[in-house]
Amino acid sequence: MVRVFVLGIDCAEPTQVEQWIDELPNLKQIYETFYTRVLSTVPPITIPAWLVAFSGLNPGYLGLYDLKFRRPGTYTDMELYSYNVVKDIEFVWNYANALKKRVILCFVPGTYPPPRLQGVVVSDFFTPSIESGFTWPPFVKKEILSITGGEYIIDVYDYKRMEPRKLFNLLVKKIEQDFKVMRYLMKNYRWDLFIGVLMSIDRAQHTLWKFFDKEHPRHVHDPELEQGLLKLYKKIDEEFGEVLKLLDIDRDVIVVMSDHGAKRMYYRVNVNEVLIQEGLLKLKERPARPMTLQEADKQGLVDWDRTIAWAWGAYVGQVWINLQGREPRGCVRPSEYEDVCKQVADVLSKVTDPDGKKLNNIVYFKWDIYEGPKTTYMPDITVYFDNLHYGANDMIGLGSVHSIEALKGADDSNHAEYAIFMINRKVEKLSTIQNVANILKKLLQEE
Amino acid sequence: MTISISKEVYDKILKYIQTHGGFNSVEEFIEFVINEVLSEETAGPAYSKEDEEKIKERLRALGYL
Repeated sequence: MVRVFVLGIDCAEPTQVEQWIDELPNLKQIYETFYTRVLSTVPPITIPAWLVAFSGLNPGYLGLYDLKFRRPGTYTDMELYSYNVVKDIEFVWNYANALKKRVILCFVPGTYPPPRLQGVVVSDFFTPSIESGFTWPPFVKKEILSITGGEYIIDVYDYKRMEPRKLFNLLVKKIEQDFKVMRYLMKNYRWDLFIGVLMSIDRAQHTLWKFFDKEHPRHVHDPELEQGLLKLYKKIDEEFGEVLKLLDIDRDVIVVMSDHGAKRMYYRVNVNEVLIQEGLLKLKERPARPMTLQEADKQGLVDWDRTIAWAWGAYVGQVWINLQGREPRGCVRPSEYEDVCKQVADVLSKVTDPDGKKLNNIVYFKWDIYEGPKTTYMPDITVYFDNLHYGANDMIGLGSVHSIEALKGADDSNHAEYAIFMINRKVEKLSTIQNVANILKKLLQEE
Repeated sequence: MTISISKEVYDKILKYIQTHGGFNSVEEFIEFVINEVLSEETAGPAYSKEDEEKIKERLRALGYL
């Protein structure tokens, strides 16, 4: 019986992996058989990207464009993602179960609360606390807490304000813990499909990038941390080597992939400030201090009756049009919708750098990129500022179009549009992350 | 508290555990299944108010919100 093992490395950037592969001997064993870059989702954000990869569906079937989504009938209220949102979707793990194959999911983004599968699930970084029911079956939690000495790390949070060496050491500890849990489950439970996803590289990209990238505007010379990111990849490679000992590389299918990459971030674009300047977002009065659009909305500062468009987004600009019939106080007629989208997109595509230099802004319209039954409330326009070298910020009252440090904290890097995919088999060519599910499904059919 | 089950069901469960693993005893299996049935009955939202705030706080720290 063929077993399929998938190691996910969230935010593993193709250019880094390609550049450093000779220093990653265990990953290289897989890389040498088949490796390609795959295009991530729009936007390249963790939960939509992984769940598209493992369902093979366009994000419009999942209704996912972030880790949160807008509550219908409101402008700025949000709901947090949970697995309940996608419980009716067929993922590769449901497909495996239908073939009477057992699965193990370990830290797969988007799997809290843990789905009740034939197999074992340890949920992801959405686990509220170690008191929560983050495993399936529930009794596995006791085993996880026991093998991690009662100090189970759900995620490395608040990493943007942490002293970089402390952060680095914590990420190493987290990698060790995650592999310990994965190997424990591999050894103690039967499985035909195993998916384990590590978040540590993502956390490191946002904070340790500036140490190795000498062209980064906020580059910091630090001989010890210069190799920080590479050291974390090496740590993963070393631990992965121990995983390979539990696999039969000639028989088992082994996949290593990411959900999106990372690239140098220069600034964030304060998207709502741009919309205010252009008269597309109207305020009843300017806020006395910088605040999120949600806070301004709660204080009654936004004039929704005269607002054409507003935005969310941290890594990309996500813009909605104040459409009649969809929004509570919509003022754009459905007949004008496409033209208004194009006008707003035109404004955003012209955002420059702080010196007025042109940026490579890329605009996606909803009708071009999303399909499926859950597209109604997905953003009408998505903007990659300078093709993701600039992030986004939805705060208002900043008085400028660009910022570095926002409530969200300074970021060294933004998410990038390409992910990695490698496998120890020759497989059909794939170009997008959405193609991954079909490959996995075909492999699961093999006897 | 002791509850009786038929020898036939006991043997079936034992065989299931030996084949599929995941349980250390028949008792553990039965308690799990019953808890499952009961929790299906009381299944609520994914997050309590407190959990939701906890996650939002973390997502802010992660830069998503």
